[in-house]
Amino acid sequence: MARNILQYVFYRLLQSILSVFGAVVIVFILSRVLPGNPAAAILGPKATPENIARVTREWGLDKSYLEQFIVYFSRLIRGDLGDSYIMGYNVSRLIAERLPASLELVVFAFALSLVIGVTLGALAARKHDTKLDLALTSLSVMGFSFPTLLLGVILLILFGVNLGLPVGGRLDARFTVKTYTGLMLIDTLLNGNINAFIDAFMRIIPPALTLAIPLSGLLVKLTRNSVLEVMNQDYVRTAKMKKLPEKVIMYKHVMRNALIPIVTIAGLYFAVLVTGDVVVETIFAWPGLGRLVWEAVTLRDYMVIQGSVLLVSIIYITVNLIVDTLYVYIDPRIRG
Amino acid sequence: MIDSTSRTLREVLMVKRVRYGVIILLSFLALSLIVVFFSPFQYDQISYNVHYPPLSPSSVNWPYIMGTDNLGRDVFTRTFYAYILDTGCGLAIVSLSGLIGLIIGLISGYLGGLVDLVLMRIMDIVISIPGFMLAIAIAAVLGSSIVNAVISVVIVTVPIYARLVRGMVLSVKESLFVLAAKEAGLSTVRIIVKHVLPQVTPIFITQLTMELSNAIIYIAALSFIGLGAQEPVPEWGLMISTARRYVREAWWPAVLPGLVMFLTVLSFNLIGDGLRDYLDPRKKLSVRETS
Amino acid sequence: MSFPRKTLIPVVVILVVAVVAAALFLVKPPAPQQAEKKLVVGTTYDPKTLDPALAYDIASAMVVQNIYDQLLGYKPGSTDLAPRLAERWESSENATVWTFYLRRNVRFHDGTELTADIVKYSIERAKQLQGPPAFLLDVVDRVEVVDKYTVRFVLKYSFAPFASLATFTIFSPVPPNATNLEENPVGTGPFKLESWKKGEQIVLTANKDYWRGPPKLDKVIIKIYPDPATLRVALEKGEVDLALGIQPQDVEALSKNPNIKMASIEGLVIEYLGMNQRREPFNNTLLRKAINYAIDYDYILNVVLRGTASRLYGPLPPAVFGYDPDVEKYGYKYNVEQARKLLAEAGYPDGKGLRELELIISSSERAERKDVAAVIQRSLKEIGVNVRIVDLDWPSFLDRLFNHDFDMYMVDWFPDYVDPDDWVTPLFSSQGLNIDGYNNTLVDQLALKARQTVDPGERLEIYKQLQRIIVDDAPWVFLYVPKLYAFMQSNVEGFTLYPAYYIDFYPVDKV
Repeated sequence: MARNILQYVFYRLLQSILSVFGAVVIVFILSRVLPGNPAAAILGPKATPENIARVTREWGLDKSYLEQFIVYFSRLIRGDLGDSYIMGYNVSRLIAERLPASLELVVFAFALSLVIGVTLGALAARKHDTKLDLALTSLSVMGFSFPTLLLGVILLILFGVNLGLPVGGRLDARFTVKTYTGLMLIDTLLNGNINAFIDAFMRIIPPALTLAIPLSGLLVKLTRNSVLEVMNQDYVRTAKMKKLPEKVIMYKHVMRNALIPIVTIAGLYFAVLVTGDVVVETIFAWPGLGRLVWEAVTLRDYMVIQGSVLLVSIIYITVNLIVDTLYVYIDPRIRG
Repeated sequence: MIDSTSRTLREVLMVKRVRYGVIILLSFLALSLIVVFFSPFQYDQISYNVHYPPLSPSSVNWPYIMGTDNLGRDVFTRTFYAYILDTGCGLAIVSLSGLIGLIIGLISGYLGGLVDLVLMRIMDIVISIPGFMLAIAIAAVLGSSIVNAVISVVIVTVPIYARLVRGMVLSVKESLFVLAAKEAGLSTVRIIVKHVLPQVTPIFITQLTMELSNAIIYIAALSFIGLGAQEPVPEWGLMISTARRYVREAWWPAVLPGLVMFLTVLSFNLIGDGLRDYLDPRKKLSVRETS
Repeated sequence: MSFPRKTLIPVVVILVVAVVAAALFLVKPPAPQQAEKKLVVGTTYDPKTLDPALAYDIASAMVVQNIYDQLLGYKPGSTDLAPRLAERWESSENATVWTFYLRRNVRFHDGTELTADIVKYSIERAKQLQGPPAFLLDVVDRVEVVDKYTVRFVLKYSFAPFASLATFTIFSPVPPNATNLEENPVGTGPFKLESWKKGEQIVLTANKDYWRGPPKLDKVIIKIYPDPATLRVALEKGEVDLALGIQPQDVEALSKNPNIKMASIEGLVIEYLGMNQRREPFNNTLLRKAINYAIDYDYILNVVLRGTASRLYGPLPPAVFGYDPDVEKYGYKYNVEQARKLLAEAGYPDGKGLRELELIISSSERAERKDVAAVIQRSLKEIGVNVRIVDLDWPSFLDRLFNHDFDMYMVDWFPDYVDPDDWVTPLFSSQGLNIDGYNNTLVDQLALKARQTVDPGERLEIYKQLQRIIVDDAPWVFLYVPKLYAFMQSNVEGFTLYPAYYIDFYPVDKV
């Protein structure tokens, strides 16, 4: 069994590399299809065609797309993501600077919604068709029906203005904190600055809630439905008839199978979240990947677009790989 | 025929959630129609006689029952015009991407092998492209409007259905009745349509209605960052995006459309959720058995 | 795979909720201790580069201006030139040769002394790097070193505004032995770069050996708030000492806040609506005039912009040299009757025969532009002209402009140097950018003459004449000039706004 899974993973890994290559090609083409180019974007309306042509030449963007792609790809396989035209920095450094902020926020939000979602969902399923179930499901529907755009705005004002709590950015700029991991919650602790930690902790709550409220709503509903589904399966009923203890049925039979769709959807959402949410990052001045990609696209900074989408696709495809492997693990019948 | 349809309908409406969802849906639809045909204001009408908008929703400012925005436009009129636009876009998105995703998922899951591999890797690629980048690219080709936003949302949401349907097909594929159908020599298409599809439908429908809500949220989000509807078109995301800039001084032009958007999304989620319970063959079975 | 014990999850949930609740309601974080004088500056834009040869956006300029010095500066709060690295300057009769006399004993952060050789090197380096602002040096033919502290610029043609140009960040000397200036900027300015976390914050520390004396602040922390609403919250809560980039909607509320000081000044940026005269229907002057009369300017200024901008009547903003106050009399004002009459004369009575016109904008950096466009759209609908607004992202917008693929567009114009030439030549001369396809040979001639004339009196007369001609041709709808605002805590002293958006932290102090 273990060897089969290894084989499966290896096989899938090969495919994944192909997918990543496909994403690289598509994004390379797509970014050039976008009207305008980085030279024009930075020069603004004052640029004469000659100025644009000159800067374009300086950045090697006057070469044919194929030539550009070959240059890009040959650097890429050596692990070099290229330099940002506009910032002059290497893209991997730009991404490395933003990734910790994104990860910190997303892991925080994801953990929050997973705990809330799965627990309450399982609870609702076990107490299905009771008042508690009704309350929980109503809350969950409301949770994921609430528009994030407005949620962010409301939470900013609620936390920042009404409650008078720190909001916006990752840390009060007046704190001096040495960077070790790039994760503010950990760095402040490593610095031994408890006040800075409290400040950083409070600042992560509103953006994390903005992401977590809809997601936990979704997970409550998903878990409830999935658990109910499994509870009505033949083998569970058989187990019930065998008078196995409820605990055993719940965890051994129900949860294990009910987790399949939860893992799928949750995995997908994690991948989507990691790529960053432009709106949330903008509202809460959170320097994550979402804004990096957004700024890169709106300035046509091709190398940054390519680099960050490459990262996104790697994350996404890895998460998918894990999800599919878990599938196989949870339900050995599935193996393609 | 008509009899059975109306009976089904009655049964569906017996589910409480569906009933509440339908009530919201119908009343908003009615309000929208009233607004379109009887509103004293056009959706882009700037009221020059208003001295210092935004006017708050109060009886003093009749007939602006939901107040005005910062340009002196009637929030009520705009919000319910937007209802038609947003739900219309949402329906267009889910029907298109749901159909495409269903087909891809069925084929991929049932046939497996190379077809499955290629299709799923394409889905992986599609989902790793940022939605707003796609929206800009499509706008470049087709010109900027809400149609581009719809197309880009369709493209980026197809993988969701495809993967979901594929996953379900995979678990149905090995079940006894499908194996039996195969044994009996039924054609692939027939097996998919007769045996796989019905198994897949309930969760797919749940997902579809859930995604209808998501589609509305997605469209609004694209408009919110300036890639969807254009001024003065009444669209929730655009309205919230503009009004949030002065929300501290005037909450209603941002919060009221947001509330209507919330209730709309809620109504579809309620209907979807209730519908799922109704459609689920196993659940009905169990209900019948226990009763 | 084993699932965690039944009791574990609820406990975790309760713990998380408890910690969150406790954090929210019990612990109010104490404000950070401040031994040093730190100024936290909140801004909405993220600098792109700190190399003066490459910087060409206001956020980068703000930082570069404080790490480097330029040859010339401005007098506080004004557009009048002031000595900076150059103690004095002079030009030849025909404005083709410009000589700058450098201040002695100016040293870079690394100890190198500023000399004429270094100025020559810096200009040549910038020309060679061909960064975005390099086109500003196109006018320079060569740089000559006269003696150790005298540098001479020989221009390709007469260019009277050259001294104004010498305030631009590309005229910042950089030491020849410095490498990687984007990350490790080495200037002569009052501050040094300590750290830069892109998209988050920049920390500057005082240059204690600055040639004008050490700055009063120990540190300047520039923090990026992409959303102005968040910047406002941070300002109100005192997390930000100085806020740059507050949006017009928040000006009124903040100006009433007793804890916050406001500074404002007439700006130089103009917002206008251009019309494509290369094709139907805007090659028709009468139609353009009709549009100019049809727009409710007061509604835009008072309601949409809340009084945060003043009306632009002609091609030049009031704060620049050469502005003719008479333009306020002969410029276009809101007059629907006149608009309808001209529309009919133009051959489109009540808009009949006119197709739907496309108005392209890019509102990503100025959100209020969407509102202004909506008012214009509705104003024109009142006289029967149908407009469709298309909000594009910046590069797509520029692409349409450069390909002349639009009916109307709305944009703002940032001057590179404070001289009427930087409005008139690029925008209205057919030898300039000529986005609109406006073509008037008299304007071309006068614009060229004005840029070659050194005598201010003579130049003023030419610009007066130009404004009259341009307004009469109505190539644009002249909209408004946004005022510049800065908001600060009441203990921030010495901050001055400059019309040219020159941001100087050197005289700022926290008391």
